[in-house]
This record gives sequence, structure tokens and C-alpha cells, in this order.
Amino acid sequence: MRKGIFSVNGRREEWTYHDDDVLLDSIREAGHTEVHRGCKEGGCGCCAVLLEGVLVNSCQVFTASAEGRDITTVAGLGTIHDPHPLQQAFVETGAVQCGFCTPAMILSSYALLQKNPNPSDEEIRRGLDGNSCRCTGYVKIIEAVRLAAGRMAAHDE
Amino acid sequence: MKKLQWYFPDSIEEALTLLKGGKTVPHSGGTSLANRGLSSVSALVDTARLPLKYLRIDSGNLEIGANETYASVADGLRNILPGNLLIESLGHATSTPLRNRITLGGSASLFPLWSDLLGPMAVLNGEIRAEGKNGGSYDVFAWIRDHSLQRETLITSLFFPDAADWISCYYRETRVGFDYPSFTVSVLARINGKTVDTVRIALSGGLDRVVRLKALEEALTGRDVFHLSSVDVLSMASVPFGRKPSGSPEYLSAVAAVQVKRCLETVLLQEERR
Amino acid sequence: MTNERSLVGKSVKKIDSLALACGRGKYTADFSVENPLHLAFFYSPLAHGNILAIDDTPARAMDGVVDIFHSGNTRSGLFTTAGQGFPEPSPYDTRLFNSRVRYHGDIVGCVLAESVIQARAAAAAVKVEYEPLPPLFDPEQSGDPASPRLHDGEEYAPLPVPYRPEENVAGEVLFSFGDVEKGFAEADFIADETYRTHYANHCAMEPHCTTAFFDEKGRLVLYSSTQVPFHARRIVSQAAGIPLHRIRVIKPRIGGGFGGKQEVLLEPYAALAAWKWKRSVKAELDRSEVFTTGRTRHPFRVHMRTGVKKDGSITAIALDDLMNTGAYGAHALTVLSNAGSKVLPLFNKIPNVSFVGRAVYTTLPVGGAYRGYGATQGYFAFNQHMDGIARTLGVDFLDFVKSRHIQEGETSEVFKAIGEGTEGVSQIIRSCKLDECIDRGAEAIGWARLRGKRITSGPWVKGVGAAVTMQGSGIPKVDMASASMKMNDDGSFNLLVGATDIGTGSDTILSQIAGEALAVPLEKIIILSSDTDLTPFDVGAYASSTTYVSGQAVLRCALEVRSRILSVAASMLDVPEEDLTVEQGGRVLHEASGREVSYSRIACHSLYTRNQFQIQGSASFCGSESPAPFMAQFAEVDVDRETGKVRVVSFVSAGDCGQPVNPTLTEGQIEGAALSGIGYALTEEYLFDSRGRMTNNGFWDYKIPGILDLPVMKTIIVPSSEPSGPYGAKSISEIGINGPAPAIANAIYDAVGVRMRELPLTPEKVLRALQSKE
Ligand SMILES: Cc1cc2nc3c(=O)[nH]c(=O)nc-3n(C[C@H](O)[C@H](O)[C@H](O)COP(=O)(O)OP(=O)(O)OC[C@H]3O[C@@H](n4cnc5c(N)ncnc54)[C@H](O)[C@@H]3O)c2cc1C
Repeated sequence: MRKGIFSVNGRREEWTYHDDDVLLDSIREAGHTEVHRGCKEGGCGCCAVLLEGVLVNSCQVFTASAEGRDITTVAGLGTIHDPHPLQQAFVETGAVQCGFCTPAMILSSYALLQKNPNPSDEEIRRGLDGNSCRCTGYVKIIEAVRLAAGRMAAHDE
Repeated sequence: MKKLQWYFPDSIEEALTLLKGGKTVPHSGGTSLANRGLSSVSALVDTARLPLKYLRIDSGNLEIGANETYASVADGLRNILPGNLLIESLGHATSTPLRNRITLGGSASLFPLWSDLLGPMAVLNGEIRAEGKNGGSYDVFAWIRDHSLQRETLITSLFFPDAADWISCYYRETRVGFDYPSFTVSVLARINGKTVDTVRIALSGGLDRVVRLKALEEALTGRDVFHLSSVDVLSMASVPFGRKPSGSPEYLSAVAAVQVKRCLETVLLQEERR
Repeated sequence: MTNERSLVGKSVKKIDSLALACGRGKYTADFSVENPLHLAFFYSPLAHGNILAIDDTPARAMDGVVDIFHSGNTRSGLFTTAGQGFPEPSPYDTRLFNSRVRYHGDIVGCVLAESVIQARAAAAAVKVEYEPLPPLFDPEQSGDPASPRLHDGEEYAPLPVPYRPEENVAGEVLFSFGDVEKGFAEADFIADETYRTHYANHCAMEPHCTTAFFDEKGRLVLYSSTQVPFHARRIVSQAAGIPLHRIRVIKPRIGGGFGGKQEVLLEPYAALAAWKWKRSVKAELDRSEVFTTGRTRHPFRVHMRTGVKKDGSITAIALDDLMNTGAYGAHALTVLSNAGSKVLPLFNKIPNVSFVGRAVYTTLPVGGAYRGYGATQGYFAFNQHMDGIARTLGVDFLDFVKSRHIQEGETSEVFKAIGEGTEGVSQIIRSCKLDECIDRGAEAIGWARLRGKRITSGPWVKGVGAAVTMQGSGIPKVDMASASMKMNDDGSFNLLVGATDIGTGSDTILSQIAGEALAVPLEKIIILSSDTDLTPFDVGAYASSTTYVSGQAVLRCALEVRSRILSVAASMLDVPEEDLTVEQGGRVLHEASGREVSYSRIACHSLYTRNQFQIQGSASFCGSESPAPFMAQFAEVDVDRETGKVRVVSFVSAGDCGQPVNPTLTEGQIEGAALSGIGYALTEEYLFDSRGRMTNNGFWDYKIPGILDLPVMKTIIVPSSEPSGPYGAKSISEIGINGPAPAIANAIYDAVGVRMRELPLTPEKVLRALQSKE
């Protein structure tokens, strides 16, 4: 067993975890159940988080290797009382069906827009290529990212 | 649940000391270690704090630190070596979150059958540079032939001599967009007027993991680019495959040859690939 | 009431979507319960065998192990895991722990331990000795006397339906009218073809999960990722032997179902273990288990023969389906029935029709409910077969369909003949805008520009193909839904429904229907769905029933509440009820005097002031018909002649679902179904080794389409109005998955002239077909 400090959505937390635990299991155990377990093989992206601002599959990261790092989940972007423009856009375009892929999908979109505030449709697809969704057929997800990008750009001007 | 010792050394020397004994192995991206088991491992040496994150280009020679990720290499090269084969191969491998995590060191340690690094290494004449017990510089074929080279050894960088100014083409055979490749084709060429100065062709994913198609290279070198149409690429590019979920050995062998031909057409005849 | 609607037909935001987008939606695995134990299963490593001995002693001694359940220590009665109405039309052919294993992955037992890791470790340490029995992999050989019988004990069908385990027959449908032989004799030619479809998985992103705990009264509460909470409660009671009144099933947010969670898989085990140890229990499948132990789409062999005259009239059609149900008969009869009953009525003017369907056991994974439910398999054959006939006749496929498909005011013998475990129900189609779907879809895909043109670019050849389909809206006279509602002080309403939102948006559209009927904005409807203690009964989310059946229950319930509101208002204003109207925003108006009262005053009046009672209502609905949605789908593909690769460039769906209650959600259903259907057509498949073990039970090698694979996707909603539906609505959730495979296959034919009769349409198969054509 190990003990370590992690920063989740800007808050310092101390976790106890096993030497070979992966971040997905540890972060869920710590109560951040918005990080979803879809396959644990890097194949669906439902567990994606930002690690030091970089999008990763939390099932592919050993907890021990993330000690002391900043982790962002979708709850760190916005709340139901003060949603992030991406969260808002996903809601407005109908990009959320069952919602299981949504937190990670929004984080991927966020990571993309951080790097590329005005992505083409092709770039949106590339940025979200690791996140599977079985409900929407992605059409409205692409629309949501486009909508949010536009709004965020307008806001920044 | 397994007892594992974790080390976070700051220097290569320290890391090498820790690697002594054999049951301790490096941990880089963790994307393989997290999936394919830690059964023979009792301790991990995390490489994150080692000074192995760099991209250096020096008179055409490219050196990439082992801790650079697929994503960081593709992004970095876009600025310093636009058009480089690695941008295409590593920049389109697997998925965004995995590319952010997979390191060149971890990849070069494994060189799995589905590697997007293997073919480019073969055509770029890349070298694996390592320190420790079997420290040295290895070409990719020597390296993959002998897995025992990896004992108590740390890959520190990949070195690509003469990496600039190539025309290149990379193809990865996949079933859907986010997939590992059943095979990959890498082609590099330099063309002088209409004459093929140099051409290098590699196919990975077959029974031999990776091959350079030397006979085909020779048949094209020093000739007019249009000579391509009189060369029987399909039979010269035919290499044996094992059965894969994506197809039978015969099928994979045949379509790999087709894709070699198309890559050559793209590079030599500058045909836009669809 | 005017036709101007305030909520129905509006793309209001899905009511749970902000919570889900902010990570606040709780799924089954997200609930923390006190000190839970964890379940891990161990599975058969053989396709077929008898369990001779189970040695769990070493495993019991391992750290954290609390108990181990298996056939050696736990008896249970026969039941079916199929979450259907009671008695189920599926055979009772399994127990919680069978002493005989019937496929590689069959559940042998489970370990209960303090942690998941400990449970899994112990599960791997249980030693089971088997007597291997011969496997049966080929459904065509299931009836062969030399083949093993998979079910030769006490298995039985709880309904009087054909069930002959002695022949490995899990279900049978025989139906005919007219005289097909006579029809064939009159024909100028007979198209005679065989099509084959394959195993596929739902791949809902959330794996199956159940969390069990005890409430303060000692009742067992199950949070479960289920589409069928009420069936789950009943089946848990039956299989685990726990009194039904001691069980409460709560459906939290569900991470997709697509039919996979219409199966009561984990709940009985979690319940059994919790009940025995009086502790909380968590059971969660990992992805590989979802593939092997979860349910699948039944593979079919469809033999279709059609007699045609030179003038194009069809004289007879004979359908002979062989369905592989795998080791157990979950949904066997009903999926099989649907492959006929949802397909044959589409061309309702054929005078001679026969359908012979047989569902047979094999030692392979178990089939189950899967979006499309047999229609998907049937339409793969039907649309290609008809495309071929149209080509033989030299007529355009779309014209061919238009002059033959069922129209408003028409019926089909098939409706009456084939039901789901019972006789069917005769019905007249009262809304059908398929012609408009065809025309608008054809326009959007560029049919006239592309069809037959074989536009070529290097090795790539372009083709375009279409498929037409229909489905149903619930199972008539079987599926029942209910709703109840009460009015609060401020004129808001609690709406309680058994209807099960699994991500489809049914909470939203049912709220829209209620809000429409009561003339209040959406936020005044506070919906709670699917808790067997709190909400009234509903069969659950399947058979395309929710909008139509549950929607009708909600509408009736809301109208009942509305009439109570009017009667209270009448006494408050001292005017006759008939003179009152309900006005938008929640007011009741007496037009003649201009006087009005708000809902809030009405509610307070009845709660506190005079003749006190709570304004509330409840209603149930069970459809007497199942109006069909219709759809035309189109694929533009590029085929690589040198590699056999097929690229779907553009995909159009044009559907008639009656009045779309929420157009954005409607589009979402169609788009999701279409992309799933594209995956089913091209890349998704179960691969088996020679011992019947699935070799690709993970996303690494079971390839579902991702965002990079999305073609240009166009969705057209062709509105109609279904007289029997709530505000004119029919269903939409399933139908869109039926068309992609045949549309793509027809497009491949259009491009390169090969008829792909076997799914999936992998590059290797296409290349082989091209080569054997040359
Ligand atoms: C779902 C999925 C899809 C994938 N698809 C592809 C694909 O399409 N193309 C592709 O190229 N790859 C792909 N990969 C990546 C590949 O399979 C390996 O996981 C990856 O190359 C390992 O890199 P890593 O940095 O994560 O290594 P780690 O997991 O950290 O280590 C892997 C091995 O390398 C050793 N090692 C690590 N660093 C060093 C070092 N500096 N020196 C010596 N030894 C070292 C470790 O001890 C270990 O044995 C995929 C992986 C996943 C999970």
C-alpha cells in the first residue's frame, strides 16, 4: 500500500492505494465517480482525465506515477450552476444521450480547444478519436465542439 | 494487487544502478505495463524525471529523447522537420490520449507487431541508443533480434542520421480509424530531376515483424521514376504474414503489397493518395 | 385546444443532460454502499461439458474470500434471463448455476470477497473438473441425430409455444397464407438466395453492474444497470428465491443498453449473495465478460425465395430462417418472430407467403435482445434480395419499392398471424410516409446522380444503395405502461413513471407530453423514473415501446389530472366546468367573464381550503396495435477494387416516426442507430477459435466505429401523425439500425457488381467476391 498526495480539480487530496493500481480505480475510489470505467484497456476513452493538462486514459496510467500531479476531471471544468461553455454546448446540441462517455468527451474537447481554439471538423475528429460513443453517432458531438469553440473565441475577443 | 517497488530517480546514473538485478524495469508511458502484466517485475524505475525529453536536430541528424511521447514528437517535428515521416506515423497512431502517453523508449523496448515506430525506424536507419549493461547504439534489426540486450539497460534516445529532406509516405492498415495497424508501409525517397537517387521501403506487421524491401529498392534506384510501372512491385513486395483478426495471411500479404505499390506511386510519381 | 403546441415537437434540452455533462449523473457503479462485498465469476473453459467436481477449498482459504457459489452448493430453479413479460415467451432452460456448461464463457460459479481483486484471484483458483461433451457449433447441424442435445433435462417453455429441446429447437414460427407453391408455379422466375448474419455485441459504454444493499427495514435494494427494473425484480425473486415484496429495484442513470440490459444477468447473483450474507454486494462485469457472458445479436441464416412475373408482380415469397440462439434460448422465439413479422408486412400485396423460422441451440454465446430485434437480420436479406429482383426486372429499386410497400389504410395478414409468443394482432396502418422518406432520402444522397454510374477514381469505384424498413411501437396487447402524477402547491407536478430512461431521453419526452397536456412549461414537470417502490409498473425500455406505450400512459394520466384541475377551478369560480379552458402557463380561464385562476391557487385550494384532496391521477396503457415507423436509408460507398475496402462516404436516413416529440432527440436516435448499423455491416464480429472460444472479446479487436469513421451523416425526419399515438407519435429508437447493412451491401453491388450475402462485409470477403467474379 502507498500513500500519496494528488491534486484533483485544484484540491489537494491524500489517497491510499496499491502499488499496481491504475489512476482510474484510485480516482473513483477517492469519490470522483465522474471518471467512468468502460473497458480498462485504453479502447473506449470513457476514463479520460487531464493529467497536468494533458489528455490521458486514466486506466493506462499507474497511480504511483501520477503522485503529486494535477488531475482535472469534468467536474473541474464547470458545475451545473456554472457550466463550462463546452458543457453548455453539449447540452444544447443534444450531444448527450446516456452520458457515460460525456465527461471524457468534454475533456477531450477541452484539451483540443486549449491547443487549437478554432479547429476544423477534421481536427475535431482527430482530437476526439480516442473516445467511443455508442449512442449519438457523434454528429451532435462534433456540432457541440464547433458551437463551444465559436462561443469561447467570441468570449476571448 | 501486487507488491511493487517504485523508484523515481533524477539521473540516468541513478536509474542504471536501480536497474541492476533484472527484476527491475523502466516505466515510461505505462501503456503496456498497465495492460500486459507485471508478472515478472518486482520494481519499476520511473523515467519521468530523467533528462530524456528532447528533440534535437543537428546538421540533418535527429535525436529524440526516450521520454518524448508520440504526440510530442509529432507536434515538435511539425515545427523543426515538416514533412518528416514520423509526423505522419506517430501523429496518426492509435488515439489522442494514448499518443499523449506512449513514449519512444517504451515503444522501442517492445516494438510490438503493431508498432507505428518500427517501419519508420527501418527506413530512416534509426538507431536505438542505450546505456547500462548493454549500452551502445543499435540498428533496429539487431535490436529486435536479441531481446536480451534489454536486460539492465535503459534506452535513452533514438537517433536518426540524415533525417531531413526526404519525400515520404506512410500507410497504416486499420479496420476503423482508432485501431492498431495490421501492417504499416514506410517509404522514403530522394529524387533528382526524374531520377530516383535513393528509395527505402519497409513493411512491418508480417511474420518477420519488419523488413526492408531491398530488391525492390535496388530495382528502382538510379532509374527514371516512371520505371516504377515496369517493375513487378506486387510480387517483389510480397512478404509472409500470420493470421490476424483483420484477415488471412494471404489477404494481408496481398494487400500489403498493393499498399507498397501505392506508397511508391505517391512518392515517386507524386500521386495524391486518396 | 389549438394545434399550436408548446412542448411536443420542440427540441427542448434533455433534462438530465447538464448533470451528465458536469459529471453529476450517477450510474450503478457510482453508488457507494456500506462495506460492500464483491462478486467475481468463473466461467466454463469448454464449449460443452458436464461438471464432475468443483474443488473450492483452496480458493475459500484465500484472503478476503467470504463465500463461493456454484452448482455443487447452490440449487436454483429453471428460469430465463430474458427480461420479458410474464410468463416469458423464452424457455426456462437455465439455472443460476448449471451443472452442465454449454458454451465457452458459461457461468460456472462466483466468488464473494472483500475486494474485487480478492474475488477475482479466488475465482481463478477454483478447480473444476469437467467431462467434455461434443460441441455443436454449426446451427445447420443442430437437428442432426448425431449432434448432441444441449437441453435434455426438465427445461420447458412457460407459455404454450413450440419448444422441442429434443431436436435442439428453442423456438419455432410457422406461418403461411395463400399457396406459395402455386405462386411459384405462376412465376416467370424465382429468385432464390441465402443470406447469413453474424454475432454482434451491443457495446453499451457502461458494462453491466448491480449494487445491492439493505435498507433500514432489512429489504434488499438493488441499483442496477437495467432496461427492465420491474422484470428484474420479478426474475430476481424467482431465481434467487427472495420474496418479491422484500426487493426494491432502482434504475439510476444507465450508460446505454441497446437490448443488452434487457437481460437479467447480474441481479440474481448479487441478490443471492447479499441475501445470504446480509451485506452489501457489488457485481460489475469487465468488458471481456460483457462480450462473452453478456448477450449478443442472434446470427441468422435467411433463405429467401420469391416468385416474380415478367410484369414485375410478385406471386409468392417463402422465407426460411434458421436462427442460432446459442446455449440458451433468451428471446429466441420473439427475435425469430420479428424477423418475419417486422419484415414481411412491408410488401403486403404478395398473395402467397410462407415463413418457416427455427431457433436452434448451439454451444456458442447466447443471443438476446438487440436493437432491431430480428428485423435487422431479416432486412439485410430482404433489401438485397429485392434490389436483385428489381435489377433483373430492369426497374429502379426505389420505384420497385414504392409500388409494393404497405400504404396508409392497408393491412397485412402477417400482423395477425405472428405475435410474440402469442398470436399477433391485426391492425391497419394509419400513418405511413415511406414514399416521402424515399424521395427525400434519394434527393439527399444524390441517387439520380450516382446510381449505376460507377464513378471511378483510381482503384475506387462509387456506388449507392438503399434499404427500406419498418418496425413497431411496442408489443400490442402485451406491453403495458403506467404513470402517476400529483400536483404541488405551486402548480408543479410530480410525474412518476416506470418507463426506463437508459439514455434515450424518455424522461424528457414523457415530461414534454405531460407538460403539453397540462399547458405548463417543462420545469413544472418533475419526473422520476423507474423505482419499483415509488413508480408504477412499466415493462421497461424495449420493443420501441416507450414513446408510444409509456407516452400514452403519461398522456392519459395528465389528462385525468387536468380534468380534476378543471373541476376544482369550476367550484372555485362557481361556473360550469364546460365553460373553462386551460391556458398556457398553468391557468384556468372562464372566457365569458374573463376571470381566471392559476394552477397554484387551484392546488392550494384543494390542498388547504375546501373539500380538501390532492389533485392526482394515474393511468395505464396497453396498446391494441403497434403502429410501424418507416425508414428509407441510403449509403454512398467507395469500393477499392484492389483491396476490397469499403468506405461509407455518405449516409442518409429518412424516417417517419409520426410526430417527433423532440426532433433533436429523434435525430440522435437515428444517427446513433445508423452508425451502429454501419459497424455491424463492416467491422463488428465475433471471432471464435476451433474450441468455440471468442478470441476478440475486447475493443482491441472488436471494432466499433469511432468518430473518425463517421461518414457525412444526414438525417431527415418526415413527420406524419399517428392517430393512435400520443400527440401523433410512433417509435424511432430501433428502426435506424436495420437499414445500414443492406444499404451498404446494395451500394457495393451498385459499385462493383458483387452480391455480398454474408455479414460482416470485410475487405477480404469483398475482395474474394471480386476475384471470383472475374
Ligand atoms: C489500446 C492501445 C492501442 C495501441 N495502439 C498502438 C498503435 O497503433 N501503434 C503503436 O505504435 N503503439 C500502439 N500502442 C502502444 C504499444 O502497444 C505500447 O503500449 C507502447 O509502445 C508502450 O510504450 P510506453 O511508453 O507506454 O511503455 P511502458 O508501458 O512504460 O513500457 C513498455 C516496456 O518498455 C520498457 N521500457 C519503458 N521505457 C524504457 C526505456 N526508456 N528503456 C528501456 N526499456 C523501457 C518497460 O520496462 C516495459 O517493458 C497501443 C497501446 C494501447 C494500450
